[in-house]
Amino acid sequence: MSAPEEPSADSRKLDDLGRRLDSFERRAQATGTLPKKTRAEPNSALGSAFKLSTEFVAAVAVGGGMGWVLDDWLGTKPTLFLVLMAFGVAAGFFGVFRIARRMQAEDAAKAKDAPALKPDEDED
Amino acid sequence: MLHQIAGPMEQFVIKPIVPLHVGGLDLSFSNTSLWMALAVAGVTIFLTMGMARAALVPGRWQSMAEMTYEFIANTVRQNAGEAGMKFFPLIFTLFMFVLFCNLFGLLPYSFTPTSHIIVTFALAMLVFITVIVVGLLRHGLHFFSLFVPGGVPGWLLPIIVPIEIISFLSRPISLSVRLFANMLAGHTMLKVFATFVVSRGAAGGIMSAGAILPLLGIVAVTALEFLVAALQAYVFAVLTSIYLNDAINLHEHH
Repeated sequence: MSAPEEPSADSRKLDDLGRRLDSFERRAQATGTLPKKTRAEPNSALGSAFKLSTEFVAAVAVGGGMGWVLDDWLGTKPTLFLVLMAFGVAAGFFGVFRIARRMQAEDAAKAKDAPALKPDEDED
Repeated sequence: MLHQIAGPMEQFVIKPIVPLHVGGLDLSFSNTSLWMALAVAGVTIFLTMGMARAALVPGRWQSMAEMTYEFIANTVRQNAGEAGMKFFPLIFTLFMFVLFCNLFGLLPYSFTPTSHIIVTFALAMLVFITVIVVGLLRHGLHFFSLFVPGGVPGWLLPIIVPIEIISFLSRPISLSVRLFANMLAGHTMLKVFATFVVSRGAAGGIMSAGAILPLLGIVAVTALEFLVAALQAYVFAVLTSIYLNDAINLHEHH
């Protein structure tokens, strides 16, 4: 085992492995035993619901909380609380809308990646 | 007989193991510190031992270590671009820590540090402050243009800017509450089902057969909790890279 020979032997083995993997993938795809592109599927309906609801609640809480503290500080008891909470609600809707749009874009991209692989599975 | 069963919230009680009080501060080494330390040790063992005998064609353990690495690297590249890879160590560390805290929490008799809001909030604040510091360092005061989205008519700005500020400030809250609430809800649900099994089983006679349903429920919920544990760690990593993207690239999105 001399030093200069080692990498070439390794790379020959790697090339061979690559070829074998390619041919295996082709064969598997032709027979339909391997899905086009396997990717982790980290999106459940429950997860989405949780994502959206915490986004909304957090924005309302921050808006209301900020108003409460400022009211206490400036002595304008309910005014800023109400105004900033309204802004918080708006920010919540905004955030939910933004996340929903991103989810939609991801779903669209996924649908393009793997057509007809699984037609809507989490629709509950 | 019910009074002998531990309440569903008892699993979240923090118990000091090595009491330590410094100047009025309770710095005791508690069960939550223990399980966080175990999570760090677990991550370290998983990654270093996995790569200790690294081979060109990886074995099972090595490929698990490499897959988690690649998975998060791809997530960071997708959400924060190539420049975001500078923060890969931070995001990968957060992901692995949260993942192992969540997974170790599923072991019997263990404790889940991520079921405490203060732990998740500290992690979220770390992300939040990093975003602000990085944004200010890279863009100076121009960073605050984050609150002024492009293409908005001027008369709308008095409404849009407060909304953007509130939604920016709510990030650490939604980030921490999401993780904490998921862990808290899942573990409580498991214990509640377990209580049903014991109380039904103790009813005696034909009534004991009623224990079978909550028992099946526990099996299903445990499986779900494994999914949630991994998913929430992933969500934490994704959101961290999305927030860092704001700090790095301001308005352009990846």
